[in-house]
Amino acid sequence: MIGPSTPASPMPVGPPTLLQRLRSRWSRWLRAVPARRVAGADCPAVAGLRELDAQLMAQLRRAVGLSEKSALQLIGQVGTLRGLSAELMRYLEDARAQSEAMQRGVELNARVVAELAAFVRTLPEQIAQERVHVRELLLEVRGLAEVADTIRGTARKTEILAINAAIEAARAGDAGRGFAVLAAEVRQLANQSNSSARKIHQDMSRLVTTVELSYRGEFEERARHNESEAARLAALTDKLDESFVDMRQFYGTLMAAVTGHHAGVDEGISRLLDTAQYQDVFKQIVDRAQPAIDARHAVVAELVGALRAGSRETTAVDARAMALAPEYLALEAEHRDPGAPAELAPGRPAACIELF
Amino acid sequence: MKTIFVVDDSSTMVLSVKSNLEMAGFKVETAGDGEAALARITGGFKPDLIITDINMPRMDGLELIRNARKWLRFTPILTLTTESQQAKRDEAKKLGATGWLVKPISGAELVKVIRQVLPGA
Repeated sequence: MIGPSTPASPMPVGPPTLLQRLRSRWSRWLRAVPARRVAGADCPAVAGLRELDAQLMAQLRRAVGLSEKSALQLIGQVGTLRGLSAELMRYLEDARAQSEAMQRGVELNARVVAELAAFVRTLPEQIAQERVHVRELLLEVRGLAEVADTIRGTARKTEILAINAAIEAARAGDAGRGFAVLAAEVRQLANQSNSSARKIHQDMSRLVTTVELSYRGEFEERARHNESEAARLAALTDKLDESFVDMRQFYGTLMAAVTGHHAGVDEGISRLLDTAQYQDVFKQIVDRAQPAIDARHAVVAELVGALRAGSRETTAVDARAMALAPEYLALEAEHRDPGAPAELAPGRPAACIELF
Repeated sequence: MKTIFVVDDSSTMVLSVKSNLEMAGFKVETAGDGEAALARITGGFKPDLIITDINMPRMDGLELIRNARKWLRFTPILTLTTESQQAKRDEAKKLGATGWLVKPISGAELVKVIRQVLPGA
């Protein structure tokens, strides 16, 4: 932890204290260290240890490099996953907007279809009522025509009666002359009634024809209207069908896109998990340094022991120290460098996957 | 669903392999070293395939293969290790290992190998 700095204490005056004497001796020793290092530089044991240290450092740097590489891969994969997630969210947002628009269209079509269905439901009753009205009208008109026929029949009988009266008046001579005039008047009246009845009958027939034609026209017009409405309904139904087909295709495409994204996310996660394996490789590099460090300690202890004992014979220690780095490198060579392709590593088995 | 027994002392390695295999549709059981794995096997656990590390505390992967073969004669056993020396490969083969995989291995490659050695997986 970094704390607040303390002000420098004032310079003491008088004979040096014990602490000052120790500091002075320590400074002199430190100044002598480079000279001692230079003096021991040609010592094989020191050179061996230095070589081992250099190799250990190189391996540790490699391990750190692997760690950095895996960290960068992790960051890259997280970025990829984030990108996939953002893309999926954008896609889903578009899909939501499209879905809402389609829903509005379907609701509108459904309303139109409901209106048409209500209209179609009223048609049979409407047609039946109109048919009843027209039938009643025709019956009434035919009734009137029958009245006209009755009048005509009565007129014909009256005419026959008038003819008979005229005959009887002629037989009566002068006495029947007045009656003959009356019979002629009655006959004329019968003729007029007959012609009026005929005219009524003709008018009735024309009226029936007109009503029938009118009914037929209305019926045809209504039929045309109904056909038009049915066609409109069919078109709307087709449109509705198209809407549902569109919707099915839309959801199919959406599902395919989501599935594709899911596969992409799975692949990204798998790569993330793969990257985690570097931690184990890193750990094993560090673990493999431990025996070399232990051997180094043993060599140093032996060297110090020999020096303390006043011995100047260090040949055996030198040899052991010189062997430390090659032994360590040989151990490392048994493990594949994950950063390099296997086929580029001379003397090592090429296959990373070998099935027996 | 095929059951795969993953044996490794590295928790990150176990998690990585387990998650990848579960995503591929396998059931995964794990153990932290050869001794724990052997205890499961001698207790009656019969996985469809074993994936084991080589360098582990208490009992290494080669020793596990040697002992496991007494109980599971035909179960495929794959090693997954940073070791790449031929002598150890040969020893593993002699002990009854089915294949030798070098770390790190991608999940896709691992699943491909498993489907190769485990029919119907």
